[in-house]
Amino acid sequence: MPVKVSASPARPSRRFSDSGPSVGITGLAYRLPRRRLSLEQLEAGGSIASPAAVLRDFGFAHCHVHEEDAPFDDALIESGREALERAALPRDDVGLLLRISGLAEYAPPARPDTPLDLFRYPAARAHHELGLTRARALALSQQGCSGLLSAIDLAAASLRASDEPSALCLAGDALPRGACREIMYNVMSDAGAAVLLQRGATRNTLVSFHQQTRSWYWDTPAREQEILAAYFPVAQRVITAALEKAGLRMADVAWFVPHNVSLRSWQILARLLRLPEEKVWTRNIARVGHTVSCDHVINLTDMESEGALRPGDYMVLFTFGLGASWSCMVLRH
Amino acid sequence: MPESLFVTGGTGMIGRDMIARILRESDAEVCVLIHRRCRGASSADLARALLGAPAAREQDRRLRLVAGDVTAPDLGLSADEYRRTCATASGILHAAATTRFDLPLEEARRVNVAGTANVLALAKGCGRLERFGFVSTAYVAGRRTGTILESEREHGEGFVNSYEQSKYEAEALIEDSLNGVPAAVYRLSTVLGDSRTGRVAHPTAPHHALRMMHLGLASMLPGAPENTVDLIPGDGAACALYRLFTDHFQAGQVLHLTAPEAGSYTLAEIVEQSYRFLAEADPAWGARRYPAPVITSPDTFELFVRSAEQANNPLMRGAMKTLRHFAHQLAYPKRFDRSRLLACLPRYDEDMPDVRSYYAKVVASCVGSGWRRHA
Repeated sequence: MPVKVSASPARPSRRFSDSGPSVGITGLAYRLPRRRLSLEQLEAGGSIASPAAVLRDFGFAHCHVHEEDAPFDDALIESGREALERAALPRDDVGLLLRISGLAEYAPPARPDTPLDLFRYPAARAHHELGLTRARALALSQQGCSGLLSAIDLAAASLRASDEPSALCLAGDALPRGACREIMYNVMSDAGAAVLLQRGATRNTLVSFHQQTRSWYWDTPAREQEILAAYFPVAQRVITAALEKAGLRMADVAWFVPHNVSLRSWQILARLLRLPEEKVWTRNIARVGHTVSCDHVINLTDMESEGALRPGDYMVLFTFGLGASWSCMVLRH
Repeated sequence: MPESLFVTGGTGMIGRDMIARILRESDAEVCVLIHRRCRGASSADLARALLGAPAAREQDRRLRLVAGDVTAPDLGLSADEYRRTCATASGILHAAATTRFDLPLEEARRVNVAGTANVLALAKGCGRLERFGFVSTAYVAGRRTGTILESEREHGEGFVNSYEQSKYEAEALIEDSLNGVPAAVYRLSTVLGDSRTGRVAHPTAPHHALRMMHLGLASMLPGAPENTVDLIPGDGAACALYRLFTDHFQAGQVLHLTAPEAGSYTLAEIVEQSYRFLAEADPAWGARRYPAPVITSPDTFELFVRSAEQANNPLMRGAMKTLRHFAHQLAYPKRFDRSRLLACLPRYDEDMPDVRSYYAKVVASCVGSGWRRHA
């Protein structure tokens, strides 16, 4: 009788309907920088490592780059304002504000004029600019592209465990000016996004969440090749586990809402999952490219506005964050 | 007059075990063709390596090394040496081959087909020749699936790699020579290592695949989880081969020396056991928690390999190339019929160690040696 290789370590995994009132996503919004570059422009500027033709074959076409003088966090604040307005939610109802970055840390000023410069918090600024009154404001980071799904999971758990009616997640990252726009064969855009969660909501309700953190891969530059090799096996297992938690089969899923990594990788993953490729919403891969933490918001927003979603549709949101965390959330529209 | 055997591939996985057995268990004199690049080696060195130190003087005396090259005309032997071999050899065991799966076909043919033609030419000149044994592979069946009979060779299903095809073509040469050369073909399964020690004399594709797992670079494998992976240990294979060649030789014979019934892991099992035994052999590695590769369709595997190539990522491309040339065989499930073998060796299944009894040792040996070739 074969013996299991190793016991599964404890990992965040939830079926939400078994653990309190429903929580749903009632407001979504995002902002992309105006500056849009083609692969050829990126190639000419030395901003991608692979030939443009290869990245085009992998499904990319453009990326958005923040170069304005205005602070990048304005994109998040504008997204937050729009999400609150769409939900017509009074500011007083927001009990929690989470600001999510996928990067290792906010870069402190290179030469702070005073030590107090180190304590200028984007989360508190967003709280102020949005006119929030009662919300606690704090930031989460260091989960790469998994950060937003983790924040949604934590915010939902917080709402269930309290009598707070709603939580607002603001996510976004801009790569440093002049940075390479290709990360592991993916073309990277800057973006800001907002997700509003409400307790008792019946739309876009959270059904299950499963995440695996494999910390051997924490040193991303040193482990790049191993991460590339691990991506598909763990992705397949995490998605399968999230569906099992939700009590769903692949056939029950209306849409896979991807993180906008290469179309090629989704073609491979779809085959591994025996998933029809047309169930994966891939059209933003060419239009936008991959953002560190806003892909799901961008895709869900567009799917809603294009009328792709019907009430009761199950959606699978999958992402991988360097660091490394594989995350999968199931929502019911 | 004692038998005089000429052996090629005597330092390979099977050849070395065979020579040790011949020296220990018979009074035959053995002439081993070693590659020119090993010209400096002495018969005493080889005897010590094969038999342990010190080799019995008498066994040492019966072993003779000649430097040459199967790909060269007259095997690269001097005219005197060639004549002497033709005059004395009563048996030839041709085990020299390239077992690399990733060679261009022409390169594989140069060693495995042209090399066999050269050894057959020698055989035709041996006036005393009674037996010619050709060590082949069960995977001349290539992309065929289902039951493969020992009596079958020709097929049009194609091959997974140049090794399979070149051995298939070499077997055709043997067939064509049967009028003048009393030849038998021994089709071995994939040889894994020594069942007693786990020692791997010559790492081949499965060992390289294991290494990819150890490096955390094994992402996916083509095949079906339930497909069996036919593996045999080097010592078991050599033991059976020795008995067939010395006691049961029959010209025209083609035999499958493959795993006993129910003596194989499935693909899913061997992946699982590989990760288990790697973790046992290397606990620090186990703490990395590398995921086991996904078992998937050949099409999906090929799309992944093509993407790695397109991305021009040297490490991933190399890793996938390593897996590609043998892994596709996992997607062509087959069962090797062994009726003729079992008629010769009725106790073969009992005598051949089950992979479950020694796989852990092989994995530990690979980890311990760093996948280096044993001298």
